[in-house]
Amino acid sequence: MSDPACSFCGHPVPLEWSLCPHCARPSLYPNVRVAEQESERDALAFRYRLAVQDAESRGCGEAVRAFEAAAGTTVAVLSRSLAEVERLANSDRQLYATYYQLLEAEVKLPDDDAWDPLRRLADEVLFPGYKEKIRFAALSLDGAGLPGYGDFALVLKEEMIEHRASVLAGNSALLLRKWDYNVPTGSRAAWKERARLCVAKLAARLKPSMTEADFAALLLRSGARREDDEIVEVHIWGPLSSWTFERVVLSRPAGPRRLIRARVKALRAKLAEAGIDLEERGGAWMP
Amino acid sequence: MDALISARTGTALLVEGADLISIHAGAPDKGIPRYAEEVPRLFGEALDLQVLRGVDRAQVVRRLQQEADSAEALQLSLILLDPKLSGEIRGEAAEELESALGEEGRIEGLERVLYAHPLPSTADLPGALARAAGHAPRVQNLLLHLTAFQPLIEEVRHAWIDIPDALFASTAERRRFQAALVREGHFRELVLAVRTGSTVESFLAAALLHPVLRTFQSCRSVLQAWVTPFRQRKWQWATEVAEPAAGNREGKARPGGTPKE
Repeated sequence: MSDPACSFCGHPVPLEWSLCPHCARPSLYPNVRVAEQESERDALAFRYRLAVQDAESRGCGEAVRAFEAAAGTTVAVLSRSLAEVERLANSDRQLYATYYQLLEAEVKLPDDDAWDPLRRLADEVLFPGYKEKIRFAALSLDGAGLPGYGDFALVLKEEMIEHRASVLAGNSALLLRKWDYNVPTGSRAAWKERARLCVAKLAARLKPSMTEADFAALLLRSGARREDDEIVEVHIWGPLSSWTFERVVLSRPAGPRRLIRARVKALRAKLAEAGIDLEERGGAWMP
Repeated sequence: MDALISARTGTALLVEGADLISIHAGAPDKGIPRYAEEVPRLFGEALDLQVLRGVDRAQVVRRLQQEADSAEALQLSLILLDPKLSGEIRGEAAEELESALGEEGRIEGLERVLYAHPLPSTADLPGALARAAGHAPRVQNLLLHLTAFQPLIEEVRHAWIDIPDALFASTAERRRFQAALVREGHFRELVLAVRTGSTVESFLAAALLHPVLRTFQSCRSVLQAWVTPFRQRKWQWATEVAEPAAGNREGKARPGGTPKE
C-alpha cells in the first residue's frame, strides 16, 4: 500500500512520520494515521457489523445500541502513583521542579544479555520509529482506572487528546504476544471511532438486562491475574501535563498507607488552581 | 540479578535471565511476573530510573523502600517550604515530616537531595521554620542546618556547574552522573567536608572508590575538577560555619538556636 499524500505538497508521507519529509509541514499523528488507513477501517467496519448482527440475533439489539452510545462517551484514563501525579501537578513550580530534576536522568541500560528483552520492546511493532512518543491509557466509562498501575486515575480532557489518540482492542503488551507480533487489521481505531471498536470487541458479552454500570465493568476490569485485566487501550501521541487533565480520581488503595494526608491535601489545592477536581472514591480515609 | 528501580512510581523490576518480575513499594513481598512489553506501562513517564547491578531481591526491596521513603520526605519538605499553600497544610506537612524523620537514615536521605541545590527563591524557609517550631524538633533542626549551609550548598553546586562539559561523554552522561552523586549522597558529603575544612581529600578518596561512581568513565577527572576549588580555601569555611553539637545530625534539636550560634 502506498503512503498517504501530504495535504499541502501532495507527495507521499510515510505513516510513521509526524511531519512531511518534503515540505516539513506538520502531518497527522502517526498512530492515528495508521488507525485511519482504509484497510483498518474496512476491517473494523466488518467486525462491527458481524458483532451487531450477532447481538441482535441474541435479542440484545437494544443493549448493543445502548452500549455503543455509552462507549461513545468514554474517557481516556491513566493510572499513576501519588508521586507521579505530584510531579505533573508541580512541574511548573520552580521549588518542586528544582529538586525533582536533580534525580532525573535518562537511564542507560547495561550492555549485557540479561537486558536484551528490555531492548527488544515489541512496541516497535505497533509504533515503528515513534514508540517513545506514545503514552498508554485505558478507556473508561466512569473515570476509574486500572489500580495495578497506581491509585490515582488521571481523566484526560477529550479536546486535548482526540486529535492524537487511537485505541486498541486490549492490552498491547499481552495482545502482541498472543498475535505473534502481527497486529490483525480491524483491531485498532482512531479516537472518534472508539465506540465501534468497543462494540466489535465486546458485543458478544452483552445481555439484554445490562445497565450502564455493567457496561463500565465490561470495558475496564481488573482481573486476579494481569492476563485477566479487561481494557481497551488508548495510545496518545506526545506529552501530557496537568492542563491535559479533566479530573483526578483517587481510588481507595489496597494496602495501608502512611503520611499521605498533607500530600493529598496539597495536591488537591494545586489541582484546584488549575480547575481540576480531585475526586475520592471507595473509602473515607482521605482528608 | 540486576534491577531497574523508580522511587517515583514505587516500582522495581528484577531482571534475572529472561525472567522479569516487578515488586511494588506498597507490597514488596509480592512479585509479579512481567513481559518486557509491560515495562513502559509500569514506569510511565518516570525519569528517576536507576539500574542496580549484581543485587539480590532483599537488597532491591530495601533500596526501593529507602528511595520511596526519601521521596516521601522530600515531597513533605517541599510542601512545608511552599508559601502558596495554606498554613494548615504546611503545618500538617511539618507533623508528618517529623514522624518520617524519626526513622533511621531518613534525615540523611532527605539531606542528600536538599544539599545538592540551593533553595530556590520561591522557598519560604522562615515560614517553614515557624510551622516546625515547638512541636517538630527534627524538622526544625533540619531546616536550621539547611539555612546555615546555604552558602556552602551554593558553592558546591557552582563547582559542579563549572566542571567543563568536555569531561563528560554527553549531556545525558552528565545528568546521570549528577543523579548518581545526589542519590549516593556525594553532594551532601562534599558540603559537610568543606564545612569542616579538612577532609576534602578524604571525600575525594572515598568517592573515587564508590562502586556506582566508578561505572562512569570520567569518574576521576570529574571528581578532581569538582573538589579543586575547595582545596585551597578550607580555612574560610572552617571559621564561618561552626560545628553543630554532637548528636544533632540525627535530629536532636539544639534548643533555641541555629547551628551558627
